[in-house]
Amino acid sequence: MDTAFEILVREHAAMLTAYVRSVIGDDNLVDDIFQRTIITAWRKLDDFDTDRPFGPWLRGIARNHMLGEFRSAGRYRRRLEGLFAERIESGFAAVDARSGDSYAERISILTDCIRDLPEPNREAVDLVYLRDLTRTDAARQANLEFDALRKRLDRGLRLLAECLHRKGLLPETAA
Amino acid sequence: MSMERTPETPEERIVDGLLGTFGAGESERLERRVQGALAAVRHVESERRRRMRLWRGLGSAVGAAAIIMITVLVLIGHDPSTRSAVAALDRSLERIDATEPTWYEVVLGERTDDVAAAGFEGRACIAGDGRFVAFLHRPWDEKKRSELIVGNDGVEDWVLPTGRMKLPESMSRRLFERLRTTVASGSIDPARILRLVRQGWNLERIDTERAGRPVTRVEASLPEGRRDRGVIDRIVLELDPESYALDRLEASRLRDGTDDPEAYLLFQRTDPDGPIAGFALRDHLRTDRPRDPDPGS
Repeated sequence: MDTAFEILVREHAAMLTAYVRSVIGDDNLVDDIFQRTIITAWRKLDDFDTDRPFGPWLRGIARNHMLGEFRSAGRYRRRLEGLFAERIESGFAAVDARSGDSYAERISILTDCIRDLPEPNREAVDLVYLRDLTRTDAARQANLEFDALRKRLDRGLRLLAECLHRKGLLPETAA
Repeated sequence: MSMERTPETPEERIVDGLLGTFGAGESERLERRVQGALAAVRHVESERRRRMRLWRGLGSAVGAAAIIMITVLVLIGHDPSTRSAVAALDRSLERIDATEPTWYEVVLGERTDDVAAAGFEGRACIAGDGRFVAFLHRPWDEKKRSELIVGNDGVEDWVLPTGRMKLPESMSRRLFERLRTTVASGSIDPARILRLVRQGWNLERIDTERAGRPVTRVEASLPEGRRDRGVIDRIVLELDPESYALDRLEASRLRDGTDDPEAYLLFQRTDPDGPIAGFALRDHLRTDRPRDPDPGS
C-alpha cells in the first residue's frame, strides 16, 4: 500500500471519526463506516483530484456510506440528507479551514469552551465524553437521575455549540 | 443499533462528534480503527493482485460458466463488502447470460406457481434434458424467506434455502435431504452450492496440498450466532487451483460442537478426468471422521 495514502489516512482519522460520530451513535457502526470509507477511498484513489483537499473527499465517501446504511429507513434518511446538506458538512469544512497543523490544534478551542461551561453542565460533559462513562454510570457518579443528567448534557452541548459559534469554529449557518 | 444520537440540532451533533474524539481511551481506539482500516485495505489490495494473476491464468477457460461462477464467488469471498460481492455476482451472472443461451428469465412450472405468487422473481437455467434451476429473490425481509433456489431434477421439484433464510428445523432437514440427493445425483454443480453460501457465510480460502498436489480449499461456515438457521452450517470445497474443478465437497454441522454424522457428507469425483458434475457419494454417515479432515489423508 502506498505510504502516502497511509499518512493521509492517519492525518484525517480523527476528523473522519468525529464526522461519522456526529451522525451515528453506535460505536461498532462508526468503526464499520470508517473502515468502509477508507477501503472505498483506496479503491477510488485514481479518481481523486489531487488539486483538491483530501478531507472533504473523504467525508463525501463517508456520507454516501452512511446514507446507504440507512437506505431503508425512509424518514430518517430524508432527515439525514437534510442534515448533511444544511449544516454538518459546512461545520466540518469550518474546522478544516482553521489554522493548526493537527486536528487537535484546530479544535483546541473546544477545550476553552468546555472550561467556560457552568459547573453542572461541565461535569456532565466531562463524565460522558472525557471520562467515557455511559450515561447511566455518569448519572450514578453525579448522583443524579438519568433524565437530569441527560438534560445537563443536552444543555452543555447547546452551550458548547454557541461558544464555538462565537469563537468562529462553527460557521454562521451552523449557529 | 442506535441510529440517532441524543443531540437534535446539527450544531449539537457536530459538537458531539468533535467531543467524541476527546475521550480518555480515544487515542487507542483511533489507532485501532486506523490499523483495522489499513489492514483491510492491504487485504483488498492483495486480493485484487491475486485476482488479476488468476484471471490471467484462467485464459481460455473463462468461457465456462461454472468456472466463472466459482472463480468469482471464491474471489469475492474475502471481500469485506457484501454489497460489492453481490454486485460482482450480478456482473458474473450478466456475463453468463451473455454467453450461455440456456439462461432465461424465470419460467415457473405449475408446481412452483405459489412461489411466484409470493412475490419472488429471478432467473432460471433450463438444461437440455428439461431440468431447471431458478434463483429467486425478493426484497430482504428478516421474517420471511427472501431467497430461494428452486429446481427440478428430472423427477420432482425441489427447493433449497440460502443462508439468508430462516427455516424451521424440520423443514431444513427435509431440504438438506433434497440437497444431498441432488448433489449425489450430479444434477447440481458446485457453483450452485456456493450460491447457497453467498449471503452471510464466512468464506475462507486456503491454498494447501493433498497427496503432493496443490489444492484450493474453500471453507464456508455460518457465523456462530446464525447456526440455528439450518442443518448445514459448514461447507468445504476443494478445487483444482488451475481449472477450478471440484475435487471434494463436504457439508457438515458445527453448531453442536461436533460433526453431526447425519449431516456429514463427502463426495468424490468418480472419474478424475470426468465432468465437474460427476460425483458419487463416497462416504456417508461416517462417525469417525474428525471435524477438519486431514487434507493429506
